[in-house]
Amino acid sequence: MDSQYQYGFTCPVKTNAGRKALEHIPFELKAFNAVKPLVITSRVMAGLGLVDAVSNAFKDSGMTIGVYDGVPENPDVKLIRELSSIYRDKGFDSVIALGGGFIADTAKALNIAVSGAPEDLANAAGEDRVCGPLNPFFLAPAGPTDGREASRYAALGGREYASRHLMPDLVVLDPRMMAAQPFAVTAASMMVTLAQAADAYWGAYRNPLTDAYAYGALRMILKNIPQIIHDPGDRQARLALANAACLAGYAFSNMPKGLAYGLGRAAAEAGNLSPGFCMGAVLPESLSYYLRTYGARIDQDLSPFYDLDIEDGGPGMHPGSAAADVLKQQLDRIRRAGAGYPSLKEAPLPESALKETAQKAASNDYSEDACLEVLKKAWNGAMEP
Amino acid sequence: MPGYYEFCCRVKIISGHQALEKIPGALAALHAKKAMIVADKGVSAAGLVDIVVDAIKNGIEIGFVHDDVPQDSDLHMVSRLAAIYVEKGCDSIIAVGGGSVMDTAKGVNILVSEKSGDLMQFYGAGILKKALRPLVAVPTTAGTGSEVTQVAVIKNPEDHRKVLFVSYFLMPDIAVLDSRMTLTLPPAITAATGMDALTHAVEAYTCLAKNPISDVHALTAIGMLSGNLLRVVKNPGDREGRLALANGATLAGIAFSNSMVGMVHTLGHSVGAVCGVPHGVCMAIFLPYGLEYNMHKNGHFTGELLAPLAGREVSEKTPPDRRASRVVDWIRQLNQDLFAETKGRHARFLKEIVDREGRQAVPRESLPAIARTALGDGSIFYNPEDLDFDDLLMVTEAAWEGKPLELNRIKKG
Repeated sequence: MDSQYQYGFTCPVKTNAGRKALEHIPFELKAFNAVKPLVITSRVMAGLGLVDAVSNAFKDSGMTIGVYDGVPENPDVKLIRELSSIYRDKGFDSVIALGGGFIADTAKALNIAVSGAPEDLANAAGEDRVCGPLNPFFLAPAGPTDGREASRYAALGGREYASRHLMPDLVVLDPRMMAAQPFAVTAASMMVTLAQAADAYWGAYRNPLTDAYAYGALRMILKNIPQIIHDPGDRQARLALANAACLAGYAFSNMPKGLAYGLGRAAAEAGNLSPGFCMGAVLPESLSYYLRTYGARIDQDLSPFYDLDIEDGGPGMHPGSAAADVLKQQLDRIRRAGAGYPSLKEAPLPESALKETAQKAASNDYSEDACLEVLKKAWNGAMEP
Repeated sequence: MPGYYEFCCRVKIISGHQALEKIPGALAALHAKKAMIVADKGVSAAGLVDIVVDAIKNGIEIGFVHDDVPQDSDLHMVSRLAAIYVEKGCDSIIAVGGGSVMDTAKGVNILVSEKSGDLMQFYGAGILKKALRPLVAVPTTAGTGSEVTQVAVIKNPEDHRKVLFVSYFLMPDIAVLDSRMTLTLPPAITAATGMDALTHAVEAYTCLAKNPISDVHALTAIGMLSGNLLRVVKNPGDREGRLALANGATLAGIAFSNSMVGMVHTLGHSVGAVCGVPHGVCMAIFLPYGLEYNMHKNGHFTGELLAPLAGREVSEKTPPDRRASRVVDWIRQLNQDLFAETKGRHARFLKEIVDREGRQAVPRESLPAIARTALGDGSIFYNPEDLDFDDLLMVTEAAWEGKPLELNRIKKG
């Protein structure tokens, strides 16, 4: 029997968000019987004062924390071996990733290595091959997201990992962590989150929980786009975006890869481009594809656009079939403010890369032909009427 | 967005028309090999335990089946079951039933995991320090949501008081939602448990501790429940509808356990305590009153529920400042429709509730005692508007008669 309630879902992440969230970390560590965390981060994060913010949060805890702030943009297995030795020799018992992207990847790989042995990194690669549960792992994002920090995915040293054991035990969203960043970085992050959320909400896969999380992520982003454009430094708005990124990551972890995320990522790899901007460039056409193929979800009485004043005080309700237009309007708005690709052609992505990109993004739900169709339209940049 | 919030639901949810068959695999992933099944007589008599056993027996060893958990489980039952678990060499529990069975199973899991004989050592919050043994929750009502909560409430037989256990470690590892488990639930119980779930979601969305993640669970739950409750009461064999209600109840449980509830629970608990009325029956009756009473404080949130409750069209046509009252009317109408469909068994107001013997369960004389008991209920703190004895009595009297609240009599704090 074809049911819309046939699914499995897990989100083993606790989310603590808001004022003084960092100060709760010591208590949360104790709940996992952990007393000596190793903080993993980059020089950039340290330079922004974020390490100080975390250290201060521990000052009344009686706990010792270690900090390694030298994670480079392309971490490798050698780094993990080095960090594992530090972790073991100094008796650390938990990892806190300060920041996302490659920092979170490093922390996740490190956690595999120290919960078992560094040799495990080879065996644990692939789908569901991590022997869990792992040692406690907390994530304190700083704003920029690649869509994977809070998810079950990690990538390091040419290997990809996918396991629910890689999801953080705790995500800490604190406004003090939302340090200033260029608008382009914030915009790219928003596009990643929108792509993941749209894939979950309108795509092939149906699941009431991924729907709920995707709905939440979509609304949080849509509500905050005007403010972010108006004042990119607004910490509360960026906290909301970081919150949305986590929700989208939880949904993303419970479903097969979607079109907007998959095509965006493959296009970025093929053309050495920004993954976020590529996702933004393919998103409207991906959404049109979904609406043509799976319907406008008009049975859903919960529209993510409900009652939002979208585009200069316009009316609240947008029927499902206009969803693609609404998202394109918002992406255009972001682009006019200085961030994004008007089309993949202008990114620039060479036309010769389209076939290979479609091949990479194809999956059980989205054929290579479907991927290529969407990709070509996104490449040209014009929306079908 | 609240200044600070926390959200946690680590329970793996497996849903479907053949979801039970996935239990052995899920338990194997947790390294469990020998399960103890815990249920109650009603569940057993309905054949549900047999369905579970048939679905799993080829995938996992069943160490023992205990189907005698009473409606109001207590510490002695928990100890007895823990002893059997240990004696039979079990390493996991599958709880099949409603709130009482779930709570009992959580209590047993504490004892066998901590290797203790005294549950009272662990009462309160934050006492447990590590994960418990595997626990699978299979709800047979839709429902209390206890398959996804970190709470267990168990009676102490010495003084008949309810003891509260709170810990994230009490959350089941897995919640299995299978349409077969609620297919034969009688219409009046379907209605009451469905309204219980709806109340969880509505209070989670409209009371003081709401947060963005509990909100999305609440909204989704409300859509599922409102779209299917009356339909399933009219057509109990609607499997997809049953599964939708089960999902709604679970999501509502996730919502309220991460954001607290308010005066509907305050008053509902009291009627339950003073007059022995089942929880869901109380929730259904008090829900519109809670929304009315708080409307001047949280009406904007209540209004946002009109779309998931009554549909987008209705919401669009209703002016924003009228949506909250429309929600209250819609819920009253739902109670009325459920009353009609169950031929009067679903009570719309307190005075028409009858016990098993057909006697009035809530006499008018008991109302002051109900109001007094309500003052001591913890949920009162999360209610948007203050409530003193007079306020509680006013609401209770209106809910007894079945008259809407006079909004000008509500004191604004």
